Amino acid sequence: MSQSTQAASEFTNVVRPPWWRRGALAGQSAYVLAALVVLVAGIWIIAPVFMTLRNLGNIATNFSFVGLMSLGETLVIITGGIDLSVGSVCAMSAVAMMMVLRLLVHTPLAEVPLLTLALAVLVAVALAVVAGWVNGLLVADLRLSPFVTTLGMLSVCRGLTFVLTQGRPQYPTGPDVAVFIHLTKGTVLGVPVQVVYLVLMALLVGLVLRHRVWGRHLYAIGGNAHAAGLAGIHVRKITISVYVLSAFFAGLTGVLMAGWLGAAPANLAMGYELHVIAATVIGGANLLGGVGGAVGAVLGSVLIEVVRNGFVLIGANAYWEQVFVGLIIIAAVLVDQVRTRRMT
Amino acid sequence: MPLLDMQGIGMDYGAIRALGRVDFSVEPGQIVGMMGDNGAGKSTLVKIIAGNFLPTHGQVHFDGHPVRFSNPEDARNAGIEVVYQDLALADNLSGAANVFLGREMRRRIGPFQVLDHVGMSRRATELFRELRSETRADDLVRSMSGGQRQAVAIARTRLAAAKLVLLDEPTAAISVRQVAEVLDLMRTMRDHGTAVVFVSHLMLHVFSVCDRITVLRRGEKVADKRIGATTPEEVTALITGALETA
Amino acid sequence: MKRLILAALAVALCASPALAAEKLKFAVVPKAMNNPFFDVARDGCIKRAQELGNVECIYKGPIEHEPATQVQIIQDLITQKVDGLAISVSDAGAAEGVIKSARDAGIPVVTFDSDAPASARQAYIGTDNKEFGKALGQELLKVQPKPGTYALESGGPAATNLNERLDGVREVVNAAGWKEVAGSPTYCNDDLALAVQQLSDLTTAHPDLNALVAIGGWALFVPEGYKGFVTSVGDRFKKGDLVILSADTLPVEIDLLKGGYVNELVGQRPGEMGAKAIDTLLALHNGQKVDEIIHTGLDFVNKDNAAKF
Repeated sequence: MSQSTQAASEFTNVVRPPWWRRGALAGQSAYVLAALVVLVAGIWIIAPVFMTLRNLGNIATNFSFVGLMSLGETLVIITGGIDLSVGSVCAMSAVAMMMVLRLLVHTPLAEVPLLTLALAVLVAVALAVVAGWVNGLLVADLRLSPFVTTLGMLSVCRGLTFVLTQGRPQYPTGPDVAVFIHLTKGTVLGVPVQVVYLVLMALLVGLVLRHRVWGRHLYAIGGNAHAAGLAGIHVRKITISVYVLSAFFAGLTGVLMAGWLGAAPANLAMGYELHVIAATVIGGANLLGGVGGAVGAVLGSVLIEVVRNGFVLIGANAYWEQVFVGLIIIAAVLVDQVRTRRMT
Repeated sequence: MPLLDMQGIGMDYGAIRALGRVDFSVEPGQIVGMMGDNGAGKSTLVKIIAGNFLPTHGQVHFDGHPVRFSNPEDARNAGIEVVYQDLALADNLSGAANVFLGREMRRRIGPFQVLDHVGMSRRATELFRELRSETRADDLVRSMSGGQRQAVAIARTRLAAAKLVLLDEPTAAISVRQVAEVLDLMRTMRDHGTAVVFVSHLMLHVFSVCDRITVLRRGEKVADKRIGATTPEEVTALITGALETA
Repeated sequence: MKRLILAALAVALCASPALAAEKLKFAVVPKAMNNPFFDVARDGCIKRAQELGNVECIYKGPIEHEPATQVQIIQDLITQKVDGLAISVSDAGAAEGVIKSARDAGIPVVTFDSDAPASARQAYIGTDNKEFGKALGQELLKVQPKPGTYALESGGPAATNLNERLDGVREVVNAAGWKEVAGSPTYCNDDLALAVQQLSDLTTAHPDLNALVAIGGWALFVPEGYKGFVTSVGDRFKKGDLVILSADTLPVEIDLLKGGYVNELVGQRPGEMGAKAIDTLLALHNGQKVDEIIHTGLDFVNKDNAAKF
């Protein structure tokens, strides 16, 4: 039976996606932004004090910490993994940094300006990187499930943090404390410094995801790791790198939080991993992998913080906030499903 | 001269003979159908050609040279590409992104190397046009039809300048309307001088597009004929064993 | 040679009972190990144990303020057959069962800092928390005679000691015409960063708030965070339109007071609690009678006398 060579266009049956799935509206971020605008408007009307510089600054500081960690978490989630250890790594780095400062304060190194600070930050971040690297090795080489692996690391790091500190908060000491506080607190042109760090890192992550080969490979691995491997992509190396980066962001956040608080409590960031994952999911990252971005992660953390703040301002019982955030997470995932439902 | 020339290929796993002594060859710009029931040895032969493992017996010549493919990368470097049934595409990426997966085009902005989105989209569009497919380079694979997805997978092989492409059941899981699209893709590849091995169990599709047909049964080659010299009934009988050889 | 060894063994056997006048093991179980308040209690306990000589102070508790974990730890200590238990109870209801188990096993039990009055415990050593709350209230009236609106910060909603303090504050200040705002009290559950955030939330939600009374020092344990909050409140605090009082007089808090970031501190004497707990357990072990309620005192610290602390 011979086939006439009819134009192939007769057999394509994919139409152009509808307007609400095209261009800028193609991603979840647009919808999160819309929800945010509605929420902000609503809270502003009920509690005008929401729109004061002071409250906005407060919100910004708070969401920056979760936002920074969400950037790293998004990278992992895009590849189809998950990192539950971010809260614990954050605390471990914060605590380690304070302890190194204390250890070095009576040594000759303290004579050199800023050296103890630099070393403390280095050690704090290095510890985080090691934790992330172990996560990556276990997931990439031993093929352990990311959930289980990072859950274990969550316990290990939190436990180590408590062992090192005996549960007591750690305070910064030494000649560089003032500089440290200065770098992690205060404002730059009226904007809280944490937000500046967040925006810079978000820009970096966003650009890399969109325009660097490594970024595209994250999406490929998340979409079809087998295909990625067949295409010659270094799935193992890239997998390890995202867990390292997730931990790096967590460690960095720990350092910033310690400066902002002026102390590193041993229970710092306890339970934050759930906020972080919620933020990335609300922002459009798909836990199955292959979807997600920097803008979404940041918007997700902003949304959660605005909700928290909103509940306080309108005088509602703060415990309802958790219920509300949970409902938002479910709603976000539902919206995502509807949005991306396949057209056959 | 054959592009691919396999002589006396055998695959023994200890006492189990997956392939007897099979001769198999493909000329450039030819579409050869490979048929046979489950366990006939088709996938073993395909994997040997693709370089997944070395045969225990026999010689392979490709493009006039003797070759030993100890891994798929060797085969790919020689110009042999395989498109497996699942197509190995990342659904969440665009057609262009999939075509260039692992071989992304880059350009410089100052000291930085960035993805050349425009360049890749343009080149992918060209490739799809060469394949006479309506696939749009910037559509996500997730929203493509089966035929368009095949076009993306085959465009990948064109990008690699493959000389021989093995297609494993390309028409098996798509709708009737898209079958014609895929068969046209194969003819276009032939027109461009690429050799195609079409592994399939769908008789009518094989007869529709192939120049030659090879039938395997229980690890042995039982027929190797020009398409005009045989019929679907004869091939069916060869596959089932009702007819010993032809 | 054999006789020499036998003789040596005999001497050793006779000597060991004397050496094995083993130390009594008294376990001190705080609400949470990550609260520096209990470090002071522990230090007081250890110091007293050293003074007595025949007592060992084991300090063990849940890391976080989590009642179920505290119960499990106490059960483990009962299994280990400690000679006495001093518990700062995180949830009175949850602790009743395990306290009874300890008493059934013949272990004397006292509570300190936070009581479980309906349980089988034999004594409570600590601040009279109601008086503590009242004292905080009275100091507020002294610092700000004109009544206005106030908000409270607490730790966990199930801790008896904290709830008694809340009652004490309310009793005194409400009678003087103060009004508690909606959203008060906030519960930080020993999350120090959250404590600071909650203070901020309260002042944001109620911009005309006149007083903040924290019945525990959580927010002040993270000094930079707390300072950030006070700075953001701005003029109102500086001018005295908003006054802030906090419980506990740990060194980090005293520094903040000296820096002008808090109006007054009212402190407990956790060291004294630790020491008296040991004394009471020892008395119970020796079969003596003890008072059921043993109150430790309060310290009042403000700008005038801060130098002494």
